[in-house]
Amino acid sequence: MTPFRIALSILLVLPLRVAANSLTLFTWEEYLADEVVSAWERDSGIAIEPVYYDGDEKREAVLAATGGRGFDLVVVDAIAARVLARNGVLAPIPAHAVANRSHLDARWRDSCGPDAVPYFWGAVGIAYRIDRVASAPDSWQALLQPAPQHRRRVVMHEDGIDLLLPALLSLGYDFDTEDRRELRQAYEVLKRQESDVLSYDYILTLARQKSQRERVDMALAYSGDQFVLNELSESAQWDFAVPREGTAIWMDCLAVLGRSHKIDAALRFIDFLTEPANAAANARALRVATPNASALAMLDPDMLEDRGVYPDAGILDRSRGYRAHSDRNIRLRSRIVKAVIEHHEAR
Amino acid sequence: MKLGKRASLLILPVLMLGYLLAFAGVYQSQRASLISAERLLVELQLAELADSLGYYGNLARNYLFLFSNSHSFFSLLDAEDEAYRAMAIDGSLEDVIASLGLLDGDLSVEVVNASGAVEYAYHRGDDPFVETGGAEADVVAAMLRDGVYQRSLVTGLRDARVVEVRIVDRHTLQPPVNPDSADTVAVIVQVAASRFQERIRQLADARRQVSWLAEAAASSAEPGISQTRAVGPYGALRLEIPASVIDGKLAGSRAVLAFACVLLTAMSYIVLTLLIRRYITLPIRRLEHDLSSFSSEGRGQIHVRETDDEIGKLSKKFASLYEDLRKSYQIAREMAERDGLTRLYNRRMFNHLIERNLERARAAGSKVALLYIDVDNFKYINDKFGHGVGDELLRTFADRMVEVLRPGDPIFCGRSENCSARLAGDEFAVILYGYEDNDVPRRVAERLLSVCDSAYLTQSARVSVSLSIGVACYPQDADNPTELISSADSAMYQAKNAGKSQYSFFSRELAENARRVVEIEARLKKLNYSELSLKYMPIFEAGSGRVAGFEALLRWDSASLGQVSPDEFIPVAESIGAFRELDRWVITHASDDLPLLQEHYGPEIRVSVNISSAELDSQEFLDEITIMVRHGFIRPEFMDLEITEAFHVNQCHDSESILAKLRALGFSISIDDFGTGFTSLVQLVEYEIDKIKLDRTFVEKVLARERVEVIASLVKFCASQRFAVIAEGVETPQQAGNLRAAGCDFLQGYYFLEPVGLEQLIAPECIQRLQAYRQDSAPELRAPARRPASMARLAHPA
Repeated sequence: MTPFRIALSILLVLPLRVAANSLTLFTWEEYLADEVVSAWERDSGIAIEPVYYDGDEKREAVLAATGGRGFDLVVVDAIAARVLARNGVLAPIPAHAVANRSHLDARWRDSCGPDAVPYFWGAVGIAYRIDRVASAPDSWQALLQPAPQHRRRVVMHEDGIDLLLPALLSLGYDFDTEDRRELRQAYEVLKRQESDVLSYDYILTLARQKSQRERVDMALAYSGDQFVLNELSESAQWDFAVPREGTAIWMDCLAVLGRSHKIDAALRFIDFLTEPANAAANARALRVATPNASALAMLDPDMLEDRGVYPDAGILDRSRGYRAHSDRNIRLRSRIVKAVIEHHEAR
Repeated sequence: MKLGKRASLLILPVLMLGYLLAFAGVYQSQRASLISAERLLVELQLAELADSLGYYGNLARNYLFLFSNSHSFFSLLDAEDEAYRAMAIDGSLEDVIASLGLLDGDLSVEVVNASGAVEYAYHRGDDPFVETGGAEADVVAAMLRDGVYQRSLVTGLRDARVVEVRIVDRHTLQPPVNPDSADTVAVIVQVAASRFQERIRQLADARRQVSWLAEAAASSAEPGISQTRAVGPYGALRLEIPASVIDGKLAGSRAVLAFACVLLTAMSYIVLTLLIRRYITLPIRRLEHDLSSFSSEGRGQIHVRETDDEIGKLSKKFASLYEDLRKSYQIAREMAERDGLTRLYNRRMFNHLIERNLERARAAGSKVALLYIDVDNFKYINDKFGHGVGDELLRTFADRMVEVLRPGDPIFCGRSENCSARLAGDEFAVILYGYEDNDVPRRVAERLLSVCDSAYLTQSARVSVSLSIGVACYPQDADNPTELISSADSAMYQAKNAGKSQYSFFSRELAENARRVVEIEARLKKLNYSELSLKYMPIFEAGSGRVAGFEALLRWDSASLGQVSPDEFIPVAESIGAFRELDRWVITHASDDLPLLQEHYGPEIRVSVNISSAELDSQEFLDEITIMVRHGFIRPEFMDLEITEAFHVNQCHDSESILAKLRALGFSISIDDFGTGFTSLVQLVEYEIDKIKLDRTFVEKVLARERVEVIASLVKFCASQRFAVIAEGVETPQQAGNLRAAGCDFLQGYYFLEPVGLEQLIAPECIQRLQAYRQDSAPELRAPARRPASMARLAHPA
């Protein structure tokens, strides 16, 4: 299904949803623990209706097409949160509205801007099959130039920033670079890699199909995805590694859409999720790193030790969060991604 | 110039011209069809190009429609934050554009606002780094200026793109009411006409010229093929094939045709030449070859060609012509080589043949015999029966001769050859070659003689002939043709002398005789008269027994030849004309001796001299003797001139008159050797003669057969004619008695006295002895004298 059609179908079904006593959350799959949702619904009496996306661009396209209409809440990355807020898509969050903000680690507290609240953070890395990949991939090269046995068994992610990230980092460049020359080099790397790539769909989307999932040895993924994959495959085959060249630290934020009619309830839900116990429960269930300092203390030490969840300090030192890109850069990267995928599809 | 060459030279230009015209026609039609095909192709290609461009035009319009009616387009126009647009809206718009998904080439979509700023730019192409935007700004400006809100155009051929521009009001999305409004936005869709471009490149590679005309202009008249076609609202395309391309193709075609023309010409030329040679010139040349081989060799044959064409007819004509010529040649040759009467070889050919055969024999060591044949008495036959019979006789004889000389006849014994020739009237010759047995010539001669055993029956007479054959052989008898012929000739004469129907081989003796004749001839020509002498033989009066006179007999005692008898040298002298000198000498010396004889034997004594009958042929002798008589050197009244009877009959009138004149001078004329020659009685009657001398052999034979009455009647006949008769050859007293009894007037012979010289004659014992024969003398005292054979005066051949 092309994103465009998704958007159209969403537009068609939205009026039915609006009437219900519920909050519609536009989010990634497997990104909200069921027990946390149950707790909320029990407390508030308001149901959470999740609508999923599997890529930032797709999310943005839907939001642009609808203006956010039909959604009450959205999980959005930190960069997008600021742009959407600036364009009036997001509802402003009053300073007092989310009291639990104070539990957030100071390091992350303002990374989503004023109109969004940090939700989870993580690293971009490589999800891999333990049983098929001899040792944990410690370089982006493992993905970009896979060993012969892994050819056509690699999955990348169609994303203007993250698709280029392994190439830029392996070339020694800043993954947010706006330098056309560097981007061109990265493009060339991706073009070379393209023949070894099985798919550019997000690994979690692809993994829904068992036959496709079984054909994957390595995938560009986000920390925490390995648990979803293990769950889907009902095994412990998958693990997650962050290459030594460093990576991007992502931050997902919770925001309320400006066109929502249930802004208050939505704000309350955000506050609920930011409450340390809930955040801890959510993080424990999803095995994703939480920016909530208070919640962190509630978590098991072994979980905190899991480098697949919390990358070690060395890697973190070499990594950083995303910066906002110029529109030219966004457009160029978008074209690069499309060109790579067109190449792939032409095959 | 030979026919073949001429034919070749004639064919070549015709062939060349013919093929040239044919190929020129082919070329013209090829050219026409090429041009029409190219024209059709241009039309198709142009249609294809226009369709292709039309397709891209439709595509661009579809994109424009889809884009400008999409929700994302509204969002775009609503959104003001560039980052938001880039992040949230661009993707959707791209999805909108991509959803049409029909395009294989570059596509760009731009949204430009009234101030010229690019609000949205999309470019799809191979290279994501290509930056677009701001293109066609002047087009948009011109549209706004002109109040045109929708426009389609094509950017050209080098970078062929179809551009669709639509200008709308930002809020109403309808064509703007006021073109100067700040709210107008232009949506520009550009589609790269990649397949069209590709096609144009292909056409360019195929050397076609494609040009883009913004306005459909009338096609200009240029060389080459050119067509123009309007394409939708965009303009017009012109496709052109330059004249040089057409010329190039035609040049290729020309080269192929020229090559084919030359090849066909050459092949046709070769084939035609071969055919002409095979079926026309070769038969002619063969015919010509046949003809030239006859002319050079004289033999051979024309291969008559049984074809119905001119050459067949020509060859038949030539064959018949040649046959005629050959016949003529053979006739001519026969005429040259053969005797017209007998068809035998003639003398010329005979000479040639004998030369050739001798050469062959010399080389092969083989033998040659020449048989020289003379038909006896042919002259007599001719005289008697006429030439017709003579000719018929010769012809019959020749036929019989040829018949008996058949090669392969047992007489020749093996591989021998012969040829026969007629040399003269009655003379024939046969050449024998290659025989082994030396007896062959003899057998042949006998066979030839036997040919005449039976009489020849001619149309008008029955004639008996006989032959005389002389045979000479190479190598024993002669070494060269002349010698061989003369040897055979000599042998033939010998045979003839030996009688009729004889053959004779050439012998040493014969050769000797022949040589002696030659010798005699030579000596006679420069005769030493001192070697000559006269002997005298007494003539007795039969009745009284007195000496009546003496016959002077010429004797030649040659220093080199010894005694030469008159029988030998007189004929030679006659044949070389030396007889006159001899006769003169005899007459002169006899006249000189006469006084002495008269002194001893009485004043009535006469002397007889033999003169050649040839003297009677000319007046000269008469004149000389007349002079001698007038001067008193000769006393004719005491002189008898004896002439053999065998003088030339055909000159009898002259002889007669000369005889008459001699008698008138006072000479007595005696006919000598009467009885064996051919003196006719008519001559005896007509000639002025005084005495007849009976031939010795005649007398001998008559007396031997005791037919003395023959002589008696002859004497009576002579007495009636007033001829005195003298009998010669009296050898016995019985003969003398018989002859006396028969009435002979005079007697002469060895019985009385052999010839003796003057000295001896006037010796007293001789005088005494002769007087003893008087009738009163005793017969027993008469001593018989031995007589040498050579004294036979009449023995020499006629």
